[in-house]
Amino acid sequence: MTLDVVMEVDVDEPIDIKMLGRLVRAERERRGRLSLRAAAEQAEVPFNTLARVEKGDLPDLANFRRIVHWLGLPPERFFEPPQIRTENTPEVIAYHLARDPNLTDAAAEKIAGLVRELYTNLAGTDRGMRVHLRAATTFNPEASRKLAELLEQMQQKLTTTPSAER
Amino acid sequence: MRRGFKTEAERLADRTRAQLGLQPHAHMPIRDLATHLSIEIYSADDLVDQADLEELDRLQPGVFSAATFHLPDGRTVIVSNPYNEVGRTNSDIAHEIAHLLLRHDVRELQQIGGHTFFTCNPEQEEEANWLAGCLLLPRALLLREAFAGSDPAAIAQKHQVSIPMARFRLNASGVLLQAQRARSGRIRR
Repeated sequence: MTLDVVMEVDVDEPIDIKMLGRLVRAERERRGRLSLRAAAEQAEVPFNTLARVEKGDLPDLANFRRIVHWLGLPPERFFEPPQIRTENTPEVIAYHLARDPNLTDAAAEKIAGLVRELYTNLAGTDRGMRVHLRAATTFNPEASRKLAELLEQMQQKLTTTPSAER
Repeated sequence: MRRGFKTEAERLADRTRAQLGLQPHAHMPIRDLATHLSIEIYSADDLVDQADLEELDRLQPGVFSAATFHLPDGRTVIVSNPYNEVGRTNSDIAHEIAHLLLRHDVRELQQIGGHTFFTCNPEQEEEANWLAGCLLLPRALLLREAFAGSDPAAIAQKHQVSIPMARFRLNASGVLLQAQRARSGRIRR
């Protein structure tokens, strides 16, 4: 059902977060007009997070996966090949696993999960940004992009600035 | 929160405060603790354009409070939002220091499908909140304030923390209840 809708996603907006919100609302209707609270319990995400996602906010990655799982979609089904960032190796692998005719959705997701875990543990960590962040729990997509851009600028400036306490 | 963490946090905070030479009821100068731990503190507008920070706040008000960077040369830097009040910033800095004291995982940003996803570990956030509260407003300090009749706003003002932090500590530590019971006991007698 939902895969057809996913295929309509705008090329510039590979994961349409507003559509994710609409899918959540539609799924609540489909499951007998579930309340947001009941849906949040079923999906195992905080109530506030699900409420904000339904209004178009971007959840954190763990909650995104839980919501998509609750919708009955492997996360990889949300992505179209041209939009998968090649730097994210586990997601590329997961995408191909999800389309392997020899695997059920559950098996593909299980293998993808193992790959993600191994990759997180074994991949070099000095390439990316290592940051603790005190911020909102959900983001509107524009704010999340802007914040990521600013954090990268901050890190770059700090790396080139000699230690000087303020 | 895992069993025993709250007691562990109170003890860790007491030890950390003692290393700074602070009495159990003394005010915590959080920037001094950062210096003691060799953590640098910057305001975000020292590193990026003010206009960009304003745009971020326009896109989603209050979205960014603070971030801790672990730089390749081993330096640890906390960057705070310059538009927040002093009390809120101190609470944010304490929260970030708590993550470091607890050796919490550092999370990477992930670019997926054209979006930036931030990861969040709610349990670790809760632990950092709790320890930050213990560092800034330990029980001994709260007891003294509660028996003096100080409300959260007065405590926040005096100890330069956010009002929500002062309210949270008064309630969650059980100090408010303890002071109220002591007062009603005195009245009955």
